[in-house]
Amino acid sequence: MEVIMKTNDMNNNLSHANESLPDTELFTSKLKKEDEYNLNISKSFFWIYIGFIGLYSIMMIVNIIFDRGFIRMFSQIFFILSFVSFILIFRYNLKIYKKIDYTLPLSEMLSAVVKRYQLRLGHFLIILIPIILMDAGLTLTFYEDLSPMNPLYRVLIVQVFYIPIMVISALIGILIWRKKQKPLKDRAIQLLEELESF
Amino acid sequence: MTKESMQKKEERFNLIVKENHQKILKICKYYAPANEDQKDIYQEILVNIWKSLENFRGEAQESTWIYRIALNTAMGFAGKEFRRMRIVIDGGEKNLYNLFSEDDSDYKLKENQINQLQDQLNQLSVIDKAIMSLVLEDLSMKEISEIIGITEPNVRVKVHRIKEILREKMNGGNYEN
Repeated sequence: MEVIMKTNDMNNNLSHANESLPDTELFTSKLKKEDEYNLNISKSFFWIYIGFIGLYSIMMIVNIIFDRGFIRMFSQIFFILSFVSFILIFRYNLKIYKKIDYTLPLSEMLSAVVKRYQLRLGHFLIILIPIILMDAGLTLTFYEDLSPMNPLYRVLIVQVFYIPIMVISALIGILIWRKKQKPLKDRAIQLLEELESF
Repeated sequence: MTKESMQKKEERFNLIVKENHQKILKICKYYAPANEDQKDIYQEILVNIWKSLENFRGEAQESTWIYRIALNTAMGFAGKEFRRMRIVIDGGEKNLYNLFSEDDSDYKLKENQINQLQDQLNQLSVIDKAIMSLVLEDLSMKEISEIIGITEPNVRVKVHRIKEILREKMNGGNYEN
């Protein structure tokens, strides 16, 4: 008797919860908007980088036409290559993000979480490519402006500012990872171990 | 995406949600006892069903597919942080009462032990609770293994062990009459 009564209670609770749940039809339009919003964001980032590439390409062509020297031209080539690398990395990350697959079995989902949130040397090396290219672009840009100085100093003075900024950015990135993503990874590992233990 | 395919997606989505509304709702109830949290998880599950709709090729049963999405979302792996995993198994279910009825053991749950069993279930680990929530939904071992991603015999062993622990606790503690 008690069991049946409790079942009835539960059904009442469910129907009560039903009332407060969102209307599906209305929700669908929200979902469509979200899809469009996400797509627009990725498109916007893509076009910002394309804009930079276009801008630096024009500057490079102007430099060639007015014969402003190879150093300036190379600095712009490095900037363009840096932006291209950023686009490729951005698109790759977006692809990975979109690949979050909720239809996987729990164990596979956990493995994917561990893989996704692991800090890897490979990722670090890949992000170094646009950073080094940008460094080269900046160094060459300032190389001529600092012309009375010794060439070695001209190179080093850019590094004195650029490297600490990049190191601080990397440290901030690691701190964010430790706070947000590492706990997820650790928890996923713990649950995987629990799932596989008998 | 063309207007026509978007409309098809929308129709399919509405149909799936309509057919599986109760299943999704129950998972929400297990993982989020508070009504407000239930609404959040429900919405999140619907978002993920929507996002995953194009990838559904019918390799798994629709219900298995829904349970996977619901469980993965409810556990919050891709969210900003893991939820506290306070799975609460509602004591009103007949399945709770019948939990031990098909076992070889002589143990039979008394009606007044339902609440105690519920307490014990909620003290299990997250994974064990996730498995037991599916057992209580009356899913077959095969379906559970497809949702959880471990082999069917392993699911059986796990369920057997969990029931053993529950029986011991129900027998050993202050729960006996």
